[in-house]
Amino acid sequence: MGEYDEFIGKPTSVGVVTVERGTVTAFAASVLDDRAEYRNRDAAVAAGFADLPVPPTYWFSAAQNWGQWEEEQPSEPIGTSPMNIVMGGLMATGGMILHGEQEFTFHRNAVVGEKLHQRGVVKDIYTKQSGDRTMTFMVVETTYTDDAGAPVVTSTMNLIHRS
Amino acid sequence: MTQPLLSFDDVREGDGPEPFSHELTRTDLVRYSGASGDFNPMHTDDPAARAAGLPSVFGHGMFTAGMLASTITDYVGVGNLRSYRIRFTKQTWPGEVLTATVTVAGKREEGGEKLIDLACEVTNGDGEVKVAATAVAAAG
Repeated sequence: MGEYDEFIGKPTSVGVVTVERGTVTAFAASVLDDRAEYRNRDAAVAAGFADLPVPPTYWFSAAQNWGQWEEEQPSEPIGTSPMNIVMGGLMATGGMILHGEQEFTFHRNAVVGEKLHQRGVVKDIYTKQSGDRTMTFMVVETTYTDDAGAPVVTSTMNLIHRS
Repeated sequence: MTQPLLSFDDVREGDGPEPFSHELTRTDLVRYSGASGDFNPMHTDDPAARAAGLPSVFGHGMFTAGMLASTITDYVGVGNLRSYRIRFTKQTWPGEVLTATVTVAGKREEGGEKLIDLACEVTNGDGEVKVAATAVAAAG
């Protein structure tokens, strides 16, 4: 049994994400992607998309921070995220948070204008000793699904607190 | 569905696009912060980073992963990436020249789809690996 087992399986986030055009175009530019599909709808349609496609790594941070319109969010309360409890609690003792690993699975291509349902859940929390430091790993899986309930993108983060 | 750029029959292990190089600037980090919504001051605020014992701000791992993803999708075609797995091995620092390399590691058919396995990495000018990644892309 690990110290943090009670948090495994608990939700970290829930929301409705609108894939917004300006946000997608700005994000593509920020990762140095100058392909026309991300900024010109005609180019996106010519490439076979219904609207502008979404850069692969958009789903880690941009989709969590932008496009979740307040009036559209579910009223379902998830309480304080285990992320804030565990990582926030560890940071209060000092140390540093590092992004260890990140994985994306693309079940299909999303495009601008879609509204997706995102839900994050704690998949695992474990610790390892590294010399005199304690490394605490937190694995969070966020799934984006469409209105039909079909998965669109799965994003899995492994975050590390190093004491 | 969009047209894959890679031909399953023609692609060979060891193939890949020209490596993409970019000198990391503080402006890159400010722009990525705004575009991603990740405003951790360790990436944008030099006094705060020095107060935390760092020599300067450092790059978001996901900026490097994003730059590498752009290199991958340029090669396989937008919309053809099926999965992308990234390991962050070292921090990046402003002034470093980051080079993204994408190499075909194999090919296989799975569930009726023709897939290419890619081994990818971003290194600095000294060859230090910043990000090591694998990706799976659809081929035609």
